[in-house]
Amino acid sequence: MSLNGWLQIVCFIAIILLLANPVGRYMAAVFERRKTFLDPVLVPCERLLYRLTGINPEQEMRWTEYAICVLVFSAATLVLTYVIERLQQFLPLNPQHFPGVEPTLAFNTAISFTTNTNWQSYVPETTMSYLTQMLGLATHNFWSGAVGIAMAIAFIRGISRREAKTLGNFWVDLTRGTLWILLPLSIVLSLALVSQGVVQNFRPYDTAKLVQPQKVTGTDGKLTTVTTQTIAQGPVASQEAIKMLGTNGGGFFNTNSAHPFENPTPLSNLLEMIAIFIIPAGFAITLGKMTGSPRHGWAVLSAMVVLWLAGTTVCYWAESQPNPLFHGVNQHISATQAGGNMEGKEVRFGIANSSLFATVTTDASCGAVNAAHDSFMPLGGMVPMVNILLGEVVFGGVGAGLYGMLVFVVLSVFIAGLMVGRTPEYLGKKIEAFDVQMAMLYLLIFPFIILGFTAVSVVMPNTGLGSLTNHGPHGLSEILYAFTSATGNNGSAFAGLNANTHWYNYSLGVAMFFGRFMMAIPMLAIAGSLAGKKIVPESAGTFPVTTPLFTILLISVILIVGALTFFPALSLAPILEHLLLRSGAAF
Amino acid sequence: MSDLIATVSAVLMFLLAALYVHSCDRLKGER
Repeated sequence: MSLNGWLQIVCFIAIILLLANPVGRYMAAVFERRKTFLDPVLVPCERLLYRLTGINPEQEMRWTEYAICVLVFSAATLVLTYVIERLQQFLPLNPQHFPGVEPTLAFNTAISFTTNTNWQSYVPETTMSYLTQMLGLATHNFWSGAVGIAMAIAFIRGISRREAKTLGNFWVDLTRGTLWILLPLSIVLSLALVSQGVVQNFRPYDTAKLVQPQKVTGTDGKLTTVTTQTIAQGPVASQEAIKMLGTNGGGFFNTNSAHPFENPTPLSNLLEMIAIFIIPAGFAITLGKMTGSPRHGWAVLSAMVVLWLAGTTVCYWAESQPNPLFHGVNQHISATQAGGNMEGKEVRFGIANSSLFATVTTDASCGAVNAAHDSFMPLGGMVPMVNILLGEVVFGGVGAGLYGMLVFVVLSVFIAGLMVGRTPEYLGKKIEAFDVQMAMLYLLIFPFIILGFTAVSVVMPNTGLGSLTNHGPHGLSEILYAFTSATGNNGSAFAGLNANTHWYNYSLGVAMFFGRFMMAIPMLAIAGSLAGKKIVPESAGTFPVTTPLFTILLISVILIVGALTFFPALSLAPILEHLLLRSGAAF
Repeated sequence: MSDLIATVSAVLMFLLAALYVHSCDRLKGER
């Protein structure tokens, strides 16, 4: 680890903490329908949209109506993406003449982008036309992000409203989240990325002559000399911005944010990391603002920052260690070498920014990568996995992170109530049996899907294990990571696993769907239940949710739930791999 | 997997999710 690396990490979190307050206050104003500086432009657009779609923006919805609207909207956009993928050979903006996408892959991809996961079992630049990337995938980055935002706002309203039956209007929240938050930020970030060299065009791919022709062995075993290279390009910047801001993560290119056309400079790398965290960090402030308890928002944000710092420290430390298998090789950091593990990392980012990016992208449910997580040291690779296994609540996805964290808050308050023997209260609302039942449903579905599918995959020699490149504990990590990423709606991959098979396309598709909706529905049920409750005045027995003690309890509950649930699986995968590496075995 | 299986799978999953909403609401109603 170096001082330079730590200074960059400190700078990054300082920027996030500085921006969180104005962004959070702005989002609160948007959803409370107060005046914002974008109103003169966006209010007429909003009114036009409601008139065209026949939506009454004043109509309020119960939690069940809200949830059904989420499902109906998601189903409609899923079908649209599936159809575009299957028919892309007949549609315009396909200069490379790609055929229609194979049905299992189209199924997996449509669910992936609908659920804000952006798991990619395909190589985008050799599979998807420009139209599919723009109309089928980039639009989903907006929609799925806005759906997450809408659901989080519904939860906040559930906390802040008194004896109400409704949580707001899904269509209004969806529209305002897209028009006021995601769209303006995306335009600004796209232009900033273009200034750094991210491409934005509709040209067919170029062919470049190699300075040094390469001899390669083809799939038929014959040795051939390659003299040219295809340069893939397209409308990248516009997709890149929302990929980060919507915590989607689906790359325009296969190598994602490691590709020089997606993330060309250290500055673009910093901008992309800021874009991932800015809305989830702002949401904690929005929570405080809309519930009338700004200190509670800061307490939640503090818990997120502490968990982020722990992950970043472990990952950066693990990646900076010399590889124990390289005997007699100087692996210390110096002016001429980065030191530590540079396999699978871009030289322009180095170890600090690769470790930071991996932590940020898995804390938030983004899934964009600027380095190969599969090439991380065992404990370094465990950090991204643990971040997702904690439930994507350390900042988390846009909206999804906050509502996931709030379920943990409900659980923490419940445990605190049990400890002092009083009915638990959260910001004046009594937490009762139904709320805890729904919170437990939310928390139990997650490991059930991840561990269930992983277990099934590892007992199928051909279908499950046949896709592995590495075996032993590293192979288990690859499968566990895939289902963790899918269920947590993260989308990053450990790579090394060929997921473009019928089994993995289908099972990961199902895992993504259940990981999104089967967790969001109990969360909305809690919101509906909280909205209908009276506010109980604070008393001496009320556990305050604005203090450092609350932050410590919240962090403890998150870690204990994650550790108890997933420690056995982790001990068989990255922890075992780490111990075997120390004794000289590699996989 | 054909388009038919993909469609049937997606329809079943969304129906299951809708049923899940209904079940959670009934659980609340019973309390």
